[in-house]
Order: sequence, then C-alpha cells, then structure tokens
Amino acid sequence: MSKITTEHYKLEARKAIKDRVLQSALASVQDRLGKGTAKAYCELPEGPGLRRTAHDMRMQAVENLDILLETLADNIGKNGGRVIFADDAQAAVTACIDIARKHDVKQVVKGKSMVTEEIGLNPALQAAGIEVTETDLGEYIIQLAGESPSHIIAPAIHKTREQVGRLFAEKLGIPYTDDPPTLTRTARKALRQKFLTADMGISGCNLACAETGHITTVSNEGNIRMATTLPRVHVAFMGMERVTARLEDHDILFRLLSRGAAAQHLAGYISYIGGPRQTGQMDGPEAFYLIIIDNGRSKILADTEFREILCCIRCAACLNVCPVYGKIGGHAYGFAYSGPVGAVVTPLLVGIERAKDLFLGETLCGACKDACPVDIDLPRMLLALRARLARGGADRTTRGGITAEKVFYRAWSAAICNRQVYAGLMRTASMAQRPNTGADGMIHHLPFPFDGWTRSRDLKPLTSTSFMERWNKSRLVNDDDPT
Amino acid sequence: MTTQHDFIGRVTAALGYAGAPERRRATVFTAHPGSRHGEIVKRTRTRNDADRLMLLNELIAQGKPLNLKVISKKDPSDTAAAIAALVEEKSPEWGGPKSVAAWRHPLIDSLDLPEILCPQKVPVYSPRQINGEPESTNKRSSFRRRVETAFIGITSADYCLAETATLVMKTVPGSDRSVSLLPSIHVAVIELNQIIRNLPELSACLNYEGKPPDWGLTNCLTLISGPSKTADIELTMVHGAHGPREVYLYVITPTAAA
Repeated sequence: MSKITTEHYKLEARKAIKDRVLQSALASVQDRLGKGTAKAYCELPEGPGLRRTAHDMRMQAVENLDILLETLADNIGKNGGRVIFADDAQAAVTACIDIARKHDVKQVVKGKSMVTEEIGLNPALQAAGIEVTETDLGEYIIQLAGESPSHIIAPAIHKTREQVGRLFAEKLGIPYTDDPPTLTRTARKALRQKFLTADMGISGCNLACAETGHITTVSNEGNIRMATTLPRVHVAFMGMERVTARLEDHDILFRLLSRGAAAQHLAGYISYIGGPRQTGQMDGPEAFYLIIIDNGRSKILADTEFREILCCIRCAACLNVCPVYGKIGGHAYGFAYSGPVGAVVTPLLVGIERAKDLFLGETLCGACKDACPVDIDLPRMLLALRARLARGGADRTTRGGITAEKVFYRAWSAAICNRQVYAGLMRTASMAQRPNTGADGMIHHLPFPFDGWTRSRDLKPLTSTSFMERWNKSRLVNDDDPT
Repeated sequence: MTTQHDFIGRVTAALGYAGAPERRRATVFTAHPGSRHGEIVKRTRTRNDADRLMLLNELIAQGKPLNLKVISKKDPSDTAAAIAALVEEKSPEWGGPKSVAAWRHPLIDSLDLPEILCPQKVPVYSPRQINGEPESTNKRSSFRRRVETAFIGITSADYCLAETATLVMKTVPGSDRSVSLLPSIHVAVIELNQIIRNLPELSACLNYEGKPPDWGLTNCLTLISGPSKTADIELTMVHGAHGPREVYLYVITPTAAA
C-alpha cells in the first residue's frame, strides 16, 4: 500500500495556501481546463445530457460487474492474454513482481496509472531490484524530483518551468533552460533510450471492453503506446470497476473522458489491447497480463449508498472546477486520488475516520457534479460520508461524532422545537452579542467555544426583531385593515 | 493467490445477487455484436462521392487544430512523389543517414517507394525486405533496429474518422505498430472511401466484420489523432513528446470524385 497521509490534510492545506507558485499554477489549470470542459460539453451534438446517458451506462456496468469481469477475463484468455485477480494491494504487487521474475525483467517503463500509485507499485518493484522509469512527462518530472502526483492527469502541475529546468540540469546534466519545448525534447531523448531497452512495460487502463476482451489505454504523449509495444512483456493494472459491456459504450465514454480531462474532442492516442503479439507480427509484447484489483472496491460495491462512485473514469474534471482543490492542490489529500473524487473514494478505501478531513473540507458547492462526464452525484456522497461519520458504526471504522457536539445538537434540537424556549434563546443571544459587535455592525470575535466561527471571517449579528415578531406585527396590521 | 471464481463470487455477493446470472447476461450482451449495427454499416458503405468529399473536408478541418496535415492526392504516383519530396526536405531527428520504414500493405506497395526513393539513396524497410524465418527472433530484432533508425514511418490505416481526425489501425502481419510510433515523422496513406464519420460508425464496422473472440479489433487496435503532444510543463503545448512530432495524411481522391 502506498503511503497514506490523509491525517495531515489540514496541515498540508495550510502550507499549500501559503505557496504562491502553487496558487498561480492551480489558478491557471482551473481557468483553462475547467472552463474548457464546460464549453466542450455544451458543444456536444447530443448536448450536456449525454453525461446522463453515460451515467446510466456506467451504472448498468457496475451493477453487472460480475458478469462483465467474467466475460472480459474469458475473452482476454481466448486472445492469448493472462488475467490475474488480486484481492488487495499486496497481492497485486506480488503478482507483478512474480511476472517480472518469471520473464527475467531488469528494467520497467511505466505509463501513468493512478491505481499503481494506489497500490504503491513503484517502491515495491525498486525494492525487488527492478529499475522503474515513469514515462509520462509529468510523472517523469516528479519521479526525478522524488515527489508524488498532485493532479490526476497533470501530475506535475505544481512545478514551474524554472523548477523543471533546474531539476533537469541537476539530474540529466543538461545546461539550464526553462523553455518547455527544449525540456520536453530532453525528456524525449532520455526516455527513448529507456523504451528501447526496457524488458517490461506497465500501464494502467482507462476502460475495458468485456464483449471483445480488450483493455484501452489513452494518452496524448504516445508513451503508453511505447511502453505497450516495445518491451517483451506488458502488464496492465485495472481497478475492477473500469469495465464496460460493449464496444459502442466506449464511443460515448471516450468523447466525454477526453472533454472532461483536457477539453479535447478525442485524446491523441487510444489503444485497444486484447493480447500479446500474434503469429506473423513483427512487434508487440510476447506476453500480456492484466491484473484486476479489488483493494476495497467490493466493499464499496456492497454499499448501495456509495456504489455510484464506482462509475468514475478518473478524468480529473472535478479537480479542475473544485474551489477547495483550487486552493489546496493535490498533495493535501494524502493519497493517490485528490479533489472531490478523492474526498469520496479515499475515505471509502482507507477508512472514513482516518480520511474524514477530506470530505469535511469540501464545500458542497456542487461544481463537481456539473463537471463530471458521467454525472456522478459527488455532493450527495460527501454528505452521506459526513452522516456516516456522525452516526458511527463498526462497518467503516468510524467512531461517531464528538460527544460534546452530540449533546449540544440534542439540546439545540430540543430548543428549536419549542417556540418559547427558542425565542428566549434568541433574545438572550441578541443581547449577549452586543459587546462583541464592532462599530461597523459586524461581529469580529466570538468567545470560546465559538471562536472558531470568527477565526477567518466576520459574522453578521442576530437581528433585534426576529422574522416571527415582524410577521406577527404585519399580520396584526393586515387584520386591522377594514377591507 | 485468489482464483477468478472466488473473486467474481465475491463481486456477485457484494451486488446482492444469488446465483443464475444468465438472465442478466442476456440483457447486457447480444449473441452477435455486429447484429446491432446493420443500419450504420449500410450507411457507411453506400455513401456517394459528394458525401465522401464532405467527410474529407471535415477531416481536413478537424486535422488543423491537431497539427495533422491532411493532403488530398489524385493517385498513388502523385502521392509517392509527395512523399519523395517530404523525404528530401526533412532531416533525421537523431542524426545519421536517412532511411524509411514502411508497412507491407497493398496500398503502400503500390506506391513503389523503394524505386521512387532510389535516386535519393534512401532505403525503405518493410517486413518484406527482411530475410529469415517468419517467426524468428532475429528477424524481429533486425526489423526493430530498422524502424528505430528510420526517420519516417509510412503506413496506411483501416479507417479514418472525419469528426475527430483519427486514424484507425488494426494490428495484422505487415501492419506493424512501431512504424507509426518510433520514427519522428509519420506518413499515412489512405483512400477516400476509408473515411467514415465517427466512433459509433467505427464500432459498427469493426463488430460487423469481426468474429469472436476479438470482434474485429485484433490484438491491438490503435487510434491516432494527430502528432504526439504534451502540456505537462505549465500547460504549454509541445508536439513530439514520445511519438511522432509530425503526421501527414495523404488521401487518394480519384479525380472523378474531386
């Protein structure tokens, strides 16, 4: 399992907000991709409603996941590939290392894959003495820097061109430059050597088609084609929910995925891979393995409240519009998945209690639902997670809310159910607030234990005459009206 | 290690079903995927020249923002001449003498490239030119070395999608994947009637003509929309991240149609 640092959410978020470079990078990614995606949806010939169609299609796939996985595995087997099922991260990593040993693999080239990030594949392969090179330019940059991805599709978005320039000068021994084309060409040259000499290519998988027995990989750089064409062995990793029934399902999903991810009509390269090299072909790997990973997903599947999150195709559209992600960036989320999708899926994978700050931190503004290419109701699930946290329960390792908070809300609930008590409370509060109300008519500081409410904002004071008082008064006036 | 049976059994249990998935299977899949698409396939096959030319124009327009250069040519010899000019004009990205890799494919063979490029002394390598047992490792590694050093790769395609400017390539003997991937410049040659509208038409055509288990996709179906690109450094678009930096698509358009 990769390192989980969800507990440090608040600390990391605070650091990120102070980081000026990150703030401008995040603003730029949201300004360009977020707006571009919204525009691209409107330009769909079928209109933005296509997202609903895609949602229903994904939900149908998830609800027949057992049949789809069985058909996929059988068809890949018929095409000459091998399918391995892994219950958890450890099993998936072990399976990959076994394959590497069996094929005498020393060097691996990797395409960007969030699920391998989730299971912590790279450190495990390195510990087994295998050299792993990330080949997506963004992933390559952060691998050289010894960091982790901060965005699902633009992993090095937190780095400036100057930082990349200094990094390449130091690690690749080139003269310093901050020109993106020159930097890209340097990486192209260095990685081409890796592609040509690697023994094994590892990729993720954007979707899989059960009926034809293919996985699909999507990229713009061409690195995944390199990694799945040139080395002797190809190992693909897939979260078990990423399968669709029919080929035509991909038509809609790819168009939406490309728009959600990068406001494109269609990504530059899409490959449908169904098995190893066949007789008479001069290239392609001699062996193809697909590792299908559960790692907590069947638990989510069994929970009808959260099953919908398995429709997600990891395009990152929700990151590009989220006001919270836009300020704190990806690292604060403490796991492979960030932004609104991370705030839902991470607690479900690693534990609600452990990752509670992620969903407590989101604003429930609903922008993520509008941006989602498959129309997932993320705000609903963020709320459901909060309810689960408050209610507690052994099922998802939540302790339940804080006792003092529960007592307070119980008292509050009793108070607001009684007209006289409530009105009395309000009158008392409106008198008690007077010493705290400033000259500008705003409350700048509340006393403990309410001081948290005013730490970063001013509050309007309670009104001296409540709505009910005014209502009653105006009704009296109206009743007196002779007409 | 868990077995397929146990793993899928757990998924079934998580979904809350008890056994007998046959009825669900019948709602999810049909016996022959092609049978769903008869109408669409008929439409693609019965297009008249005017419709096909409209698709070509759309392809040209969609290619532009992607940096895909779509060029209409009247016949194979005209196309071959254009390729010869391109070979003359461009220089190898990684240095060394010029060489070209090409598919073994009826349309590409008809261009007579070895002959056309002979005056420039630029060799053309295709799986055909390499001697040895068809299945030998030697033959494969020798082909791979040729493709690695080639600065231009010449392929055809099975289909081309007008709406997204996408080349679609099945993997079959002679149509090797690395030719459209390793060289710095990718040149593709297709005929006008290979242009179809979009992804739904593609799925229909593939499934309709296909057989189980791969339903027409082969072991690797590749979709290419323009040259390789990245925007990973400050969202600055750069062409030529790993794959070809430039892509040229020649469409042989009979004069009768044009």
